[in-house]
Amino acid sequence: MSQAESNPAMAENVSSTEDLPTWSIEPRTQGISASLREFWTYRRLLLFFSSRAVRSRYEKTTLGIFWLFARPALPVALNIVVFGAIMGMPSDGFPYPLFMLVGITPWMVFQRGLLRVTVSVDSQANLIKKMYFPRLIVPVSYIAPALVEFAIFLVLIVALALVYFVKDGHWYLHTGPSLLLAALSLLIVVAVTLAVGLVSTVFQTKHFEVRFVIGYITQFWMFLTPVVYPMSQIPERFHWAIYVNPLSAPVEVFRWSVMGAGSLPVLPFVWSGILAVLFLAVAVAFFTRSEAAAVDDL
Amino acid sequence: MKPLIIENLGKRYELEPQAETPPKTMRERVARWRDQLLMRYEKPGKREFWALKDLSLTVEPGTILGVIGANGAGKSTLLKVLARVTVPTEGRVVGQGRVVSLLELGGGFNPEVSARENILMNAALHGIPQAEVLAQMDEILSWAELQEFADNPVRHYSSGMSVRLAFSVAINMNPQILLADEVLAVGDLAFQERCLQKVTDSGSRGLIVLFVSHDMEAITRVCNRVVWLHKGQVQRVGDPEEVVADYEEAVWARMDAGRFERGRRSSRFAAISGAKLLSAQGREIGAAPIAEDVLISIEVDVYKAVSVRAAVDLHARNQLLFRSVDPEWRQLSKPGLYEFRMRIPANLLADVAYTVNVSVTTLREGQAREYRLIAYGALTFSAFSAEQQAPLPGWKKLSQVGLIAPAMDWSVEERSLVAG
Repeated sequence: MSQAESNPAMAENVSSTEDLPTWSIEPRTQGISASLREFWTYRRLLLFFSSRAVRSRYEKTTLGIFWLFARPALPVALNIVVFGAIMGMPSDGFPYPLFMLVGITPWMVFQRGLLRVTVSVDSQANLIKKMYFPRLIVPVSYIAPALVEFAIFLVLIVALALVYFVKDGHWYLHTGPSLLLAALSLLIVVAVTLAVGLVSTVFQTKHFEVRFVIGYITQFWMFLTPVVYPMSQIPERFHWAIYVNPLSAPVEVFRWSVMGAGSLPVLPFVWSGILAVLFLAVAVAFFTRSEAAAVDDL
Repeated sequence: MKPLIIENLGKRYELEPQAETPPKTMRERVARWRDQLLMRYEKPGKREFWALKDLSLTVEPGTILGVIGANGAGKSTLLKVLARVTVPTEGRVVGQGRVVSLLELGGGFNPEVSARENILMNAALHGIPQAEVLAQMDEILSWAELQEFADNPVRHYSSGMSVRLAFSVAINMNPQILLADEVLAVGDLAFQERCLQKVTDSGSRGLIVLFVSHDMEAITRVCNRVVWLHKGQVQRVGDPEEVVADYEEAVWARMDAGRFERGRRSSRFAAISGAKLLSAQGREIGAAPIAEDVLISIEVDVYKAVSVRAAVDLHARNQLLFRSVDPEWRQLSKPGLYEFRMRIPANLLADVAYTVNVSVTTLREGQAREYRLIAYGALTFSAFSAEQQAPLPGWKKLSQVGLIAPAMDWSVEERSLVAG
C-alpha cells in the first residue's frame, strides 16, 4: 500500500531523503544569531501561543465581552477616583480622567505584559518539557494579551473623549503624524517589558515567588513614572531622576502625541530608545544562555 | 541515508541537597549554633546524578529500536536528549532529517480547539511550513479516521481518538526519526497493527523509530532491534528475542520483580494462558481458606515440543514472600494445553491479599538458550480464616501481624528453678 503515489508532497520527500539536513546535538548551547534564525523559522508558533494566551483569558467567562472592557477599566477607574477626585491631582488643564487614562494606557502594556511574560515559561511547561522549539517564542508571544488590552484602552480613550465632547463641546484627541511617535513609544515600552520579562521568567522557573515580587515592583515603579501625575508637578531640577527610568519618556511622549498634554521630551525619549535596545539585547543573550538550565528546572 | 550516531553521551542532573538533619539533643543544637556563628557549619551540598553516562550507540536507517531498562535507567532522558528538550552534559549525537516525538496520548494538544487547528499547531511546534501541513491535512485526518470530527474541539475526543490523531500527525510529518514513549502500546491491537504497518512502510525510506516501553510483549512484537539500558549505559544491544530474554532474566532475579514491568507471556514455543486458584478438590475458588490446602494452577499453551519449568512468586504488600520453582524440567513432546499445579499447604497463609507472578521457562532440545515467559500479577487472591470469633478482644488483630501465618508447634514445660 503506497499513499505516496496519491500524495505529491510525500512522494517528493521520499525521493529527496539524501539531501535532508544533517544535525548534531552537543553540550554547548547555540549562539544568539543561530537562535534568532531559528526563531524566524518557527515564527508561525508566535501566532499560536499568542492566540492561546489571549483566548485563555476570556474563553470560559460568562460575560466575555463585558470583562474584555471591565478588567482593564475597573482598576483605572479606581485610580481616577483616588488621585483625581479625592486628592485633586492637577492635570495640565485637561480633565483628569482623560489625562490619566491616556497616560496609563502605555503603562499597562508594561505592567500587564511583564506579569504575563514572567509566568509564560511556567505556564507552557508541559509542552516545553516534551518538545523542542525555540524557547524564546514563548515569552515573546505572551506580550500579546497586553497588546490586546492596549487596543481596548484605545477604544476606552475614544469613548471617554466622546463623553467630554458632548459635555464640554471640545474634542481633546489629536490625529495626524504625531501619532507615529505614539507608536514608537509603544515599541519602546514593549522592548522594555520583554527585556525585564525575559530575565524574570528564567528566575520564575526556579523561584515561584518571582511573580509576586514582580507585582510589587511594578506598583512601586508606576509612581516613578509620570502616569498619575503630570511632569509639571516635578521641579525642573529633578526631571532627570524621573527620566532615568526608560518608561517615563514613552509615557510622556504618548500623552503629548495623543492629546497634546505636557511637552515633547526629545532627549529623554532618545535615551529611553537606546536603553530599551540595550536592555533587550542583554536580556535575549541572558535568556538563550540560561534557557537550557531553566528547562531542566521546570 | 545516514545512521543515527550517539557518541559518549552523558547527562548530569543536580539533585536537591539532602535534607539537613535537625539536631536531636540540646547539646547538639548548641553545638550547631556555635558552628553556625563561627561559620564552620557546612550545609549538605548538592548531589549530582548521571542519568546517562558514556552511552554510545549507532542506529541504522530502517531500525525500530526498542529501548528497555528498569526505572531510572535513562530511557526517557535519552529520548529527551534526542528530542532536544534537554541539553546533554557531554558527548554528542549526529543524525539526519526531521525528529518528531510522539507526545504521550496527545499531551501536546490544546483541548479547546479543533483537530484541524491542533494539527497546524503541532506542525508549527516542529517548525514545519504551513503549506506542507495543509497538503497533508486530509491524509492525517483520514488515517486517524476523524474526518467527521475534524472541527470538533479535541476536548470531546475519546482517548482512542486522541491517540490516533497524535500518531497520525507524527507519522505524516515525514520524520526520519520518530520518538515514541509507551505510546505504541496504547490502544487496541487492530490500531497497533495499523501503526506498525505504517511504521514498516516508512521503514523503507529509512525511518528510525525509538520505542521506549516496559511492555516486553509489545517490544518483541514491534521492534527489530533492542537496546537494554542500565544505569545510563548500554547493557546489551541486539536481537529483540535475545536481549529481552536476558533482560527478563535479570528482572526476575530481583526481589521487586514485576512492580513496573509488563512481562512477556508468549513466545514461538509456548504461552502462559492463565492462572487460577483451586480448592484441594480442584474446584476454582476466589479466596483461599487458610485451614485447607489450595492449589495454584498455571495453564500453558505449548506450540512446539519443548522442556518446560514453571515457577511461582508469591507477593503480598509489594514484598516477595517466596519463590517456588518446579524441581523438574517437564518434557512436553506434544503441542497442546498443559496445566501445572502447585500445592500451598494448609495453615500457611495469613489473612491478607496475595499476588502471584508466574514464570515459565522453556528449553528446546539441542539449544542452550532458555526463554523465560513471565506473567506479572497473573492472579490475585486473599486468604481468610474460618473462625470468625476472636477468642479475646484485640486478639485477632494481634495474632495477624505478618504476611504469612504458618502453623507452628508450641509447648511449655516446667524446669526446676535455679536458686537465686
